[in-house]
Amino acid sequence: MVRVAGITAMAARCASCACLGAIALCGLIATAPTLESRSAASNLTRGCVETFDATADYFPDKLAIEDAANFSVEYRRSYKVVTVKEAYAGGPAERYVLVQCGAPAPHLTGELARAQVVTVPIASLFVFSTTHLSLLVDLERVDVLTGVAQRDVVMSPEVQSRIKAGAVAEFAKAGLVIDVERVVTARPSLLMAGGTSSATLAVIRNAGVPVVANAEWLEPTALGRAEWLKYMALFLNEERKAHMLYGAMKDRYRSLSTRAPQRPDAERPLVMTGRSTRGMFTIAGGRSYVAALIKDAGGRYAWADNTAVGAASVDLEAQIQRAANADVWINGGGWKNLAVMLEDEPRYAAFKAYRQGQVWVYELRETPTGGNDYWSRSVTHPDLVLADLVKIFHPKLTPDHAFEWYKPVPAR
Amino acid sequence: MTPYAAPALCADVELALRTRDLAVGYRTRRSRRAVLEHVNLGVRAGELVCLLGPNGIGKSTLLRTLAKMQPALWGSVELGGADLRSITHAELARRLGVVLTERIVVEALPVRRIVELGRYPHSGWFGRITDRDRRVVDWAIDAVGARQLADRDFSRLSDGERQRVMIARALAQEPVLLVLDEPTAFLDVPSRVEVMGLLRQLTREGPLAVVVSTHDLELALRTADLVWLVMPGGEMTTGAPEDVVLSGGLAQAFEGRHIRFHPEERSFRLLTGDRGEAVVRGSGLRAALVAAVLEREGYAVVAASDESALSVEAHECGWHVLTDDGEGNGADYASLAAFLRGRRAVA
Amino acid sequence: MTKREVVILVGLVVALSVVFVLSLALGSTPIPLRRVVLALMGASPHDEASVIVVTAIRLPRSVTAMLAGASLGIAGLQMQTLFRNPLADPFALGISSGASLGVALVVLGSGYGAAAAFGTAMGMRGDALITAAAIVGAALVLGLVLVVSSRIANPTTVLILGLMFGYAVSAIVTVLVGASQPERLQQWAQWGFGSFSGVTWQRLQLFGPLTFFGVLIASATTKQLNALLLGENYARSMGLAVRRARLLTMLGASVLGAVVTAFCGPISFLGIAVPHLCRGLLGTSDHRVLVPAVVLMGSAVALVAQIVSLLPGNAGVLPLNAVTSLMGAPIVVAVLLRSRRGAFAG
Repeated sequence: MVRVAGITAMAARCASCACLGAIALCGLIATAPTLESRSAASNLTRGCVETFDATADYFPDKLAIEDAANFSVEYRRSYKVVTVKEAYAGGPAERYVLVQCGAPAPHLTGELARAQVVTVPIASLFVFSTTHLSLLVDLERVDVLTGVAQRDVVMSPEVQSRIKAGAVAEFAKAGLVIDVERVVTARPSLLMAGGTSSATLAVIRNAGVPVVANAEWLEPTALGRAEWLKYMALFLNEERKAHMLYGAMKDRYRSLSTRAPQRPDAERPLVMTGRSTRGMFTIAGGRSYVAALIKDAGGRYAWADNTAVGAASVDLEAQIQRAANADVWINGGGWKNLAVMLEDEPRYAAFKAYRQGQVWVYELRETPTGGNDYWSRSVTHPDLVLADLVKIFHPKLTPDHAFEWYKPVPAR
Repeated sequence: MTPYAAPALCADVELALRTRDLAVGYRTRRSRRAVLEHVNLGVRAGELVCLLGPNGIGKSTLLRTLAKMQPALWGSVELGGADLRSITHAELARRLGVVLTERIVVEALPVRRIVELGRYPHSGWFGRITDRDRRVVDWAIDAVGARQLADRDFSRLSDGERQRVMIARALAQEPVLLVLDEPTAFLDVPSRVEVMGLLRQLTREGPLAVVVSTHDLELALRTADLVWLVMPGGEMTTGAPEDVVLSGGLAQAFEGRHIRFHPEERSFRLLTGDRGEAVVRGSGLRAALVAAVLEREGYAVVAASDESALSVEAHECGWHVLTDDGEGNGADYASLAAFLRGRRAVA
Repeated sequence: MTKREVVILVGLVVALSVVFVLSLALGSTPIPLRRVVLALMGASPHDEASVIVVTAIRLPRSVTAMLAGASLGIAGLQMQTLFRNPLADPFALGISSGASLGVALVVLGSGYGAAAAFGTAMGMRGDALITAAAIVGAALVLGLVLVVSSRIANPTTVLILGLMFGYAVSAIVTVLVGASQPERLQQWAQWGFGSFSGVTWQRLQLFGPLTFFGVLIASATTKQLNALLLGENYARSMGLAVRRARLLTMLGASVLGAVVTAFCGPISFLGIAVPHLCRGLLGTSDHRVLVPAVVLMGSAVALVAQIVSLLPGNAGVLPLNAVTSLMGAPIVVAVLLRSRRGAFAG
């Protein structure tokens, strides 16, 4: 939603200023080229305010959060307050105060006075998780990226070329342990962490580098996860772009998710997920975004009553009891073909989905070296994931869709 | 004294054990250190041999070499005519049993099982025990007089009882030779006597030969058929106990500043005589006891002497002393000792 | 054998049978006993879910548990007698650390790609590769310890050597862990929990004969072990070829330990606790009785540990290693306290 209320306010103020004097007005207008107009048509995506106007609303483009449960934002004239409800699994809420560059520090009381302050729009960014890189790519703001955790796992071509140009540092190469010194020396405007707690982050904060959490993976729905595109946009003042992109994606998602689940039960396949090691099956939890996607794609998840939000571990026995008759098996992986699967675990043959060759994995775009952009791109494009799943579950519903990431495991 | 002449020179009785120019000691990577050399010994069936000598002289080393527990440096050892080097350990175990000084700690095994272990060289795979094995075990237990101990827990026995059981175990191997390395070291006096008596009896009753090293000189001299005495320089004197006594070897090996060997009593006495001579009048046990007290208090007891000797009378009710500067009498020997000590203070 | 000993052994056989049946009847999903029996007898259609669960999941798991328990039990007994040390276990010569190193290199290390390539070339994948790596790692460390200890007479010194090698190897593993990715760590940790569930009928074709014959061969050392009760000097005097017996026993016990670790992951405590349990129960140190007892008791205890690890039911599975340790520790303490002087005391 974009509120265009700013223009009306401007007009009212101009009217009351008219009696102050034309000279003052001329003087102001004379220096106009470098001065932002009080009625900013949109948020400043680059640069700072030179002369601050306490009465101006610097964020005419405001975002409303519809599907993401884990973060929210409130706008003030010159700053935004962003709240992340669960900064890491089981962790407390964190609030950040995003102050427009050029505006003075706002007067904050209580808890907010202790909150992390970030100056927006940020000029440089260190990003911990490759999932978050795709947020930047979608917003077309790879230009602010100055640091990644590990260079060689980056899949996106835009980021790769920026890395090749030497503009991106690497700050967590070995074992994903953050190299504090490197971060502090580079002094990015912001470090976006991956939604896990760590004493290292506190050290970095104390050294003057703002750290914010990005806990998109705690969202229980695919749409919610995708809406974190807006989270990234908040720091870049790119609300307008985010709104458009998300809106379009959500429409595409909805067009499928309102049709597929409406199919009669008989046509809705029973779905199982995961893979087994040493007698334990690792599956998607019943409250995870995978389960939500299955439901939106018109499938019936065998473990819909499970309460895990992330992955869950179940005994092979239990999986056989529940899913021996599942029609489709998704989200396993690492299998060259069906025969090889049996070598790993001969008891896979107990599953009907296996015997009928309905084992689907998201490895269509996997590179020979094992890289897969499913992990980064699928977060912001759940509409494509949904489309793939709808095609798997209801092949006749979308005959023209070409698989984006999913492919069946070949027989040999 | 000449070394004991090897019996082969005087008889062709096959020896249970025989050494030829044996040298025992230790071998390191670079050198050989001989502890005893040119050892020529023999043991006949039914003989009890006591190996005597000062501490650290190499008795244990010799016994271990005889039992093939360590290799000889040079020379040979023959058991029943066969060179030790040509016999495997398994075969050796059927002919030679060993009892060591060390205290064995085994939990939760009855005596009978311990003795049964002695059937190891004879028992089949898995250690199965046949009827014959059981009979041998029973015999061994009886032979050492441990029948009433047979079902008791080995770890609950006294030290003396334990050593007897270890001897029984060695006997269960049905050996021709038993080698014991100071088996009585940790035993109390009655147990020591018992063990030596047992060994004596075993050699008397059958062809079993026994070689035992001990520090119990007096007991050894009383019970041994043959004594091997290792002298301080590493030479060996061998022979019947009386021959060895006569040879003066014991005096050479063991006498010290305060100890003297008395051949007649075949025992050691603490050196005396620094307080002069004394004469004991009387006879029998009482006189001997008075003499003992006098000796302990530093007097040399002589049969007859000139006037300067102290004269003590030993009679039925005690003792009586008459001296230049006093007279004393008493009923027990503590009072005699006190009297004598008092005299020293005065003098 | 005394009458009491025979009675106890028979009792152990009965207990083992009961626990075996229980282990087939209990699992993370409830299956009525009647169905279990039908499934075992082959009287149900063989694609029915419960039949698959019983025959393809529970039965091989129970067989694996019995074999592993028996192997660890007898290997532990051998090591405790050989080293005259109540704390010795089948892994005393660094076996566990060696196996961990092998698995760590394959799962965690930068050799991941190379190892996987090698494995594919050899026709091994995933689990099979891990097993092979564990065996190789254990064999290397064992070989090293044996070579160095062949010059050493004192058994306790050998134990310490094994311990030191184990520490050194564990240090290398720790370094690998520190440098690895979180996803791989998950897999590594899972291996470290130990599990009987990973051995399918197919892998039992290898595991079964290896452990079965391993236990048989170990049983054949009963006579030597009894002789060793009196110490090496007396044992030698009774005809035992001590050095050879020592080497073969160490080798045999360690190989058993390595095989179990390779197929089931590291399983702690069974090797220490089971011999103590048997000694306490039977009240004898005679290996002619202890060996069968340890085999029976080891199988039974492993099955019990398997059952206990399923206790949380729907909420998940307890790591097997944790269960064996939690069960084993109090048992050993109780047994040692009961026998006032303890094993090998003095």
